[in-house]
Amino acid sequence: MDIPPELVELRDTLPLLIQDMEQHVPYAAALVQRQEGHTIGVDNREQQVEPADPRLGIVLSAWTGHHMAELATSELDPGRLRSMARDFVAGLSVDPDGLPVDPGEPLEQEYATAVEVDPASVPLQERFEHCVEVQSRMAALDPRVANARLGLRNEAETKLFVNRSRRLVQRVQRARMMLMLLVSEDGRTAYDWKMQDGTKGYEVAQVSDETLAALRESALGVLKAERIEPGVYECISCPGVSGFIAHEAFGHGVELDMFLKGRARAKDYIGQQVASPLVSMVDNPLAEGGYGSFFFDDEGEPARPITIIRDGILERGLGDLTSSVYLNVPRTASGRRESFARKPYARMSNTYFLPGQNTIEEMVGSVERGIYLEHGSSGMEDPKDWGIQVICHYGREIIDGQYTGRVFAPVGITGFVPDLLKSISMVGNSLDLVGGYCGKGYKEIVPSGTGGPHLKFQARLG
Amino acid sequence: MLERIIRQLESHSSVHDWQVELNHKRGHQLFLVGERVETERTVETVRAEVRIFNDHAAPGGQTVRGEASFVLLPQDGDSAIAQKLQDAVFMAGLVGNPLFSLPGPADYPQVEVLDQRLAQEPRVVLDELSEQLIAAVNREPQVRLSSSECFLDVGDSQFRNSRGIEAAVQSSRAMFDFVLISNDGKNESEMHIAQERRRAADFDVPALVQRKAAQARDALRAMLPANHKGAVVLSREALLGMWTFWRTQTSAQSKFQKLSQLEVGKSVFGEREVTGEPLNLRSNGLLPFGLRSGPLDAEGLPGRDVDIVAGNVLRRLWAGQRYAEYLGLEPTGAFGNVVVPPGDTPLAELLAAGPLIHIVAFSDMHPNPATGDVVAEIRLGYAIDGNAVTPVKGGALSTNAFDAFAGAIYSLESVFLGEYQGPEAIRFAEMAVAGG
Repeated sequence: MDIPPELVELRDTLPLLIQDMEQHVPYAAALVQRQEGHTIGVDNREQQVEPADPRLGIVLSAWTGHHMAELATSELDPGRLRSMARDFVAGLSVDPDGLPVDPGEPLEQEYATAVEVDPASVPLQERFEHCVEVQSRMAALDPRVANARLGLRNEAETKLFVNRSRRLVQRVQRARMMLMLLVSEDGRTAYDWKMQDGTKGYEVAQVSDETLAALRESALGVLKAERIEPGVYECISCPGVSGFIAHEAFGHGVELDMFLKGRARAKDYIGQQVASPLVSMVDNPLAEGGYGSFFFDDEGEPARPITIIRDGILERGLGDLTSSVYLNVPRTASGRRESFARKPYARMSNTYFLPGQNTIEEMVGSVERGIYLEHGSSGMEDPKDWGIQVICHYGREIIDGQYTGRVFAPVGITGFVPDLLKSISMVGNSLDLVGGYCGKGYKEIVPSGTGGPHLKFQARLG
Repeated sequence: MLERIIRQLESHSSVHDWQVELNHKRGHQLFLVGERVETERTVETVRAEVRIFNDHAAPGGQTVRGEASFVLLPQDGDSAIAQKLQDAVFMAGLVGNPLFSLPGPADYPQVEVLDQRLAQEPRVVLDELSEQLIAAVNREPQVRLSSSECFLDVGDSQFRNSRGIEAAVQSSRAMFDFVLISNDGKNESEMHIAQERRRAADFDVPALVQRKAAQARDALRAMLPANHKGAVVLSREALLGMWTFWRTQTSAQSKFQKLSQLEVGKSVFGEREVTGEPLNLRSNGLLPFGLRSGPLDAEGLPGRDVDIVAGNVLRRLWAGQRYAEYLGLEPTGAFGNVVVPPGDTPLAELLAAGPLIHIVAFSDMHPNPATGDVVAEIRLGYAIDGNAVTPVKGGALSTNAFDAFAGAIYSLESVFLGEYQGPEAIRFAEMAVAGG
């Protein structure tokens, strides 16, 4: 793996800096973040080629025995860093009888995302010209297209983690192709979009005619959408909406810092039935191609899949380092930061329901009067009260097992999490991961993956 | 650092315009779990954000403008600057947009955007805010502090561009995020508060905690609202998502990109019948300690206070230099703080004539930027019918922002919420709530 030059020297010098820090504190660690890449944007009237949100900096963490102290800086000169680290830990009050932190089993490893086509191997001009060509196909889809927007983002994030027993480097590549069609007719405007993304390379930029035709149909469908009559409906969720439910309705509520803060109702339900026996749900940072995938978390814990719900029974939560220390439970690889300038929290990676037995045809065919829910567009967690908010961009009416052609937009799912999860009566037999970004409350944005199979359940829509 | 960057920018023959913003940020962060410190952090970053513009001939022969940006760090030497600049010139050369210019120097207004005390004694201010929070929560029955996060940031920014702008701004931001948990011995509920201001004192922690603790207690007995079609009152933070929609709809960029259909000189409500009070909306970049205030915006245009919508009529689209030139408009600069004049009706009257739902908190609320359609889960509200006031939670508000504002009545009382100054509450004549 090619390690960026800024990180090469630090990989060799940071172990000494950690040794220095641990003269004063019981545990110290360092994380260096370097992010680079490109975004390309094209619409009917404008173009853009830019570096993608470049980031470079380091955070030094020092455990005092009772809390974590951190110093984050964009300064990367090893000599100046060592001096800053000494001043930093010298100012800390240490509790020699405090809680211990386990630095983990010794591990020295380098990891890199395997991609089909490394964006760096395709000249930027070629990538830009490809985007212009795809956008022109989008713009020509229909006379009602008011604007066709395309965005391609490739980024490579390299992280170096060092503590007294670990020296880890990972290079994670993420790519996202966003296609958005804005359509207009008789004074009404609407849009729909399609994402192709993952821990992948330039391969996400390939767009088929079938994809564009489906986008045209869905955008024109939303243009004619009606408001849904509020009520309880039989619902089939597309994989993206299933993922929103897994992530927002349940995932945030099993982040262990929520347990620590007394915010998680899930704490009282470990080992209990919280969902239909058809339901199993995992958080898997190693999911192949998942947008939230990584090899180790921002606190040096190697990634591994965690089963949160097995056959409807809540098994365990997701822990960052400090929450796990305070709660005295094993860590999971769930300590994630928005950037070196932010603290780590217990966070999800790729969170999804596992596939079941049913085909989508069986599921739709079983609906007497219901809605196929498309495109989760936003959601919000409510770990204490287990309320659900998932907003779907639109829903398609199903009557007697057939789509009627009526479209409703937007459609909000609300309700009580266990009621919804226990109402799941069919689980699709395919798995489709969808990329996105996840916040903690209203901030702390990290890449994440959701998705899953289709689900059939009952919910209140409005 | 700035001079080294500018020397290279000025000597590069393919850079036809440029702007540089050098930012030095210092932050202090404190995280509590209960009353115990969980994490304390200091953050210091220095980075220069450089934007370059390159004019070149398009395949059709016309001159077009390309642009690209890059970031420089203090350790970047001359050769690193040269390499990043060359990469940016290449990227800008790929892009062909209609020509536009950069703003030149202007008289920049004096705007208060720095909390002096926060800048001088950040650690003291951080501790004071936490102590005020703990003390205020301890005064509240049935309520405890779950956790809190406080971020205090001070930034020094120097802005230059190729048209001669040289400006410097020092500003502050404070972010306060905390969770209160109420408990009546049988059940628990929570209120999550996240606010941002430029000045720490603007949080008014005792009053904020008192108001939110009362809501946390109300949440304990809140029930699912009944289905409702009729008057809905939104107040304080529950209003903010609506203003985001108007900010998008009234921008020249949205107009240029066909996301907005509004026309200058015409009613923002189109053919809808307006049954409520007129909408008046200003973009005010001069509001003291407003989060969107400043002597100049990110392009270098001076901060202004301008009418956007007056008497329901779109007076102007707000526009940076680029989109102003594209549409032949006067540039206003970036949208400042939303300022809306108060109405004549006291809040108590707005809430008097039920049945209605008064919503004080949504889980999240983002109107569709093109259509104005909204669906949002109610985190806490009150069903009001005569003298009966019942806390409600769950269920979804469903409306359209254009339709809703056509029937809006504005409260007499005003609030300042960081980037909004205006009525504390708005009563909308007709909205739908999907409940039980």
